[in-house]
Amino acid sequence: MVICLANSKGGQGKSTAAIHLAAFFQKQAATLLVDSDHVRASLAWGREGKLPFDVVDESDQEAAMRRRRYDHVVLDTPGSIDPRGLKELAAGCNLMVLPAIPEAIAMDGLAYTLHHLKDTKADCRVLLNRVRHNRPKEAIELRAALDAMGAKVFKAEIPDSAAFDKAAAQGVVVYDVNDPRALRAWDAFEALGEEILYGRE
Amino acid sequence: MGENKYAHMAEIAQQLHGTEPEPEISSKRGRPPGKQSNPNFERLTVLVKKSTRKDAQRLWEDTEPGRDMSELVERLLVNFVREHHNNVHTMR
Repeated sequence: MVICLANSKGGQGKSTAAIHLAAFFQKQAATLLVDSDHVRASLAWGREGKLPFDVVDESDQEAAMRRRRYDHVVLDTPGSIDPRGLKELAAGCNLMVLPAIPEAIAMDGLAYTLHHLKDTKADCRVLLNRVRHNRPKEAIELRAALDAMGAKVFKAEIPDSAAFDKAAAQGVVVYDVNDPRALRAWDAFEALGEEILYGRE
Repeated sequence: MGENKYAHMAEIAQQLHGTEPEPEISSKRGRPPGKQSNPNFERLTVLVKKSTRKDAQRLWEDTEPGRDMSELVERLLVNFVREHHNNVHTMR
């Protein structure tokens, strides 16, 4: 399966989502994460070699995939991706995940991304990311707005958790963080992965 | 291939995911990788009479210089399997 993380607006947690989706899929079969973001956040996350899957720069993707069999590929993309790039990625992947933080300012970038994807046949779904437990209304409102637009939204939501920051700092997947909130954070990605693989009513 | 680098990324991912790796061509000097590192081969330990092995090895080295005993055993086993299949077909 080829999964692409994209959003024309940066800072929506694409790399965190990419790392944890890759970790989920690695539990199913060999998974490669390709980082094409200029910031190289995913590569930096995996710099210490503690991630359970391989992470490469986009320039090394082909060589890596010829060296080893990967059943799943997760593509992390830059926030500055142009509409053409978005469409070409959408055409080439099995699923496009659009992480979005429920806040008013995020909606413009998301609407722009969805607008450019509306004519593609790709399976594009919004992931409500960094949802704050003390402000659930924002997520409910964003979900309602996206439903009204006809956009597909994952039922699974990723909580805003300091455990992800710790995971990034330590170069590990959140389930390896010694923090009481880490398990809940990982559970959210497991729910997302299962929704991708098996759907959820 | 698309002109856009993202199209290229998606194409490579779609084309190559789930495919077995290509055999590595080593640019290192020295002996090329042998049968021991080839996943299509496995080690076989058998007991034969010392005199049989000695005679066979001497004859094999004279007739096929530079080839190891593994190749003789492989050839004999392939012939054995082929003959068995031929006999089965003839009986039908």
